[in-house]
Amino acid sequence: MKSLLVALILLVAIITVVAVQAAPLERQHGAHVHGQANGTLAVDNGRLSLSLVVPGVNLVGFEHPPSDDDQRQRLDKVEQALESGDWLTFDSDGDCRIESSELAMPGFAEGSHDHDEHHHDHHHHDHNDHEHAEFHVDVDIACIRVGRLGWIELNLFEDYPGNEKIRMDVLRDTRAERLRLTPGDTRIRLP
Amino acid sequence: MNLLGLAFRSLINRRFAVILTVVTIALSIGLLVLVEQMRSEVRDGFYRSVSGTDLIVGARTAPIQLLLYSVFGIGDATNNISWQTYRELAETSDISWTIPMALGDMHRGYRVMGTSEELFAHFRYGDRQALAFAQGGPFDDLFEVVIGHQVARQLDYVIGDQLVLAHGTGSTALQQHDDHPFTISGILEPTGTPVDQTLYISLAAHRAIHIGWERGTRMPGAEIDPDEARDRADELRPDSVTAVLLGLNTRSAVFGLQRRINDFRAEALTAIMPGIALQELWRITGLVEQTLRLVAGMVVLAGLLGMLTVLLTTLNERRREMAMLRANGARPWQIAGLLVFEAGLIAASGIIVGVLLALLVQALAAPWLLATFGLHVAVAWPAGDLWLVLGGILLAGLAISLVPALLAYRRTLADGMQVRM
Repeated sequence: MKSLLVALILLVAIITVVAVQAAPLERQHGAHVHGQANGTLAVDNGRLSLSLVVPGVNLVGFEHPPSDDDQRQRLDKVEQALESGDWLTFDSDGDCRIESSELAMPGFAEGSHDHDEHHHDHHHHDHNDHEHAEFHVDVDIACIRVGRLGWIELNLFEDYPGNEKIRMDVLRDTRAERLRLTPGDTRIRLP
Repeated sequence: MNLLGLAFRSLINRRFAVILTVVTIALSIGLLVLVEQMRSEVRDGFYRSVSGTDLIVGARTAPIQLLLYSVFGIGDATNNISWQTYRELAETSDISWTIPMALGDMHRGYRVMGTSEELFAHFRYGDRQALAFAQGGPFDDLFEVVIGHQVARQLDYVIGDQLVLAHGTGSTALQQHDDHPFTISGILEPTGTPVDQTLYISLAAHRAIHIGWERGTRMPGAEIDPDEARDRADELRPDSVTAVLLGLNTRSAVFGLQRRINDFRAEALTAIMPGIALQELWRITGLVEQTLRLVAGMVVLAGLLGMLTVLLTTLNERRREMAMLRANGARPWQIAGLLVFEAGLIAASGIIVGVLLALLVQALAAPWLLATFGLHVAVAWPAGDLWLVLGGILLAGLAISLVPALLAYRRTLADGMQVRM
């Protein structure tokens, strides 16, 4: 009888814990399409802010913490390339330069599961490995003559055949539009 | 000798074939013009309906769907946003204004939207125009309603009239909110957008008429007394809203906020930028549009070939006519020119009649589009590009007529004078 009571209390406790844990919407998954990167570009008062989310597969070919030296090297190389900002080319008429650049690589950190800042909730499920490792890049750009800036190019195709298209939402003073950049057309035009 | 006069008389003499040819070309041109015009007009109409709204937020759904049901009343929402989430959104620092939309009720086929007075202050359409009242003003008393231009016109309503809202689509008499009649406090100026087809009430009123309806139909005795509702108006609020329109303090904050809303953990939401959602919609309809254009182009080609057929057939019948002209001193190039002139005349009349036909169909379809989708389709003269296309078609018609013209040039004399058995 007593053991039954203990079992019952335990059961109630478990149900409560489970219920409390399930209360916030934890079972959400963002879309993650291999081969396609998503980005946004906002042009506002001479400043451009560009964000990009690229699935890990597109740039390094894997989506987990590097498991050997080869993968580690590849990851380092991509990390350096993204941080350098060299993958961005501007129309020289705009006189633009990169003010700051931030890179996060959720899902690629070795050993740690809670390292990434942006998508912490993403990986708290009962999976042992990370599901989707991504590169998150945020770049702030200042232009002296933003009115004359005709285009920006994202050179993320030539060196990365796994990156097939970039969907860019571009926001300007008067309009918003969606562009699709491909290896054949890497240019965001800002007429 | 007056060749032009002769040409006219010759055409009149063959009026049936000529008129049929003109009609064929006119129909094909009409189809082409109509496809182009409707495409651009409908797009304009959609763009006009959402201007100045930075984000539209709804329950998690497809962006196009959210846009269609929130702004255009096409399709239904699968889920609503909880009131708590709406309040949290409204209090976010980046946000300058919010327009909540609680949908679901109808009045004689028109949408009823529960909203706040922010609508009249912040909603923009067309070229960033604010809503204006033709008569009256916003709802002040709990049971007051503001109606769109078309609603007033079609149902013959004036300020002060009383009306009863229907629950849901209101197809049965039992599903009427007739215990809470509304008084019209204002009529909006025409906008040419779905606003014209909508009735606006306050969120508190939206809640009040639904007290006692929790089981999907009215529970006698459970409903709230109108005077009691007025006393409690401040605390009446719906449990959920269908969608929210957001305006931001700085436009560049849109992407950040959009990401935060889409990643919101407590409730599954979707935030869309209306312009981008529309662009996605056009991407989907683009294939259909291209197909329609192709079909219209083919029909024009068929029309021109029809003209060629008629010219060639009549050429045989007109051997004597041509020979007479030659015998009377017309030169071979004049005969050829006559045929080209005839073809040009037929093609040009076909094009003119076709454009007029397209305008007529547009004018006839406009009221239907307005009533069904709240889209204002202007009967506009074709745009510059379309005139170029039409000019090209005229040139193509002239080019095609060179075939019978050359034949005539080469053989009129010999042909007509020979006596054949």
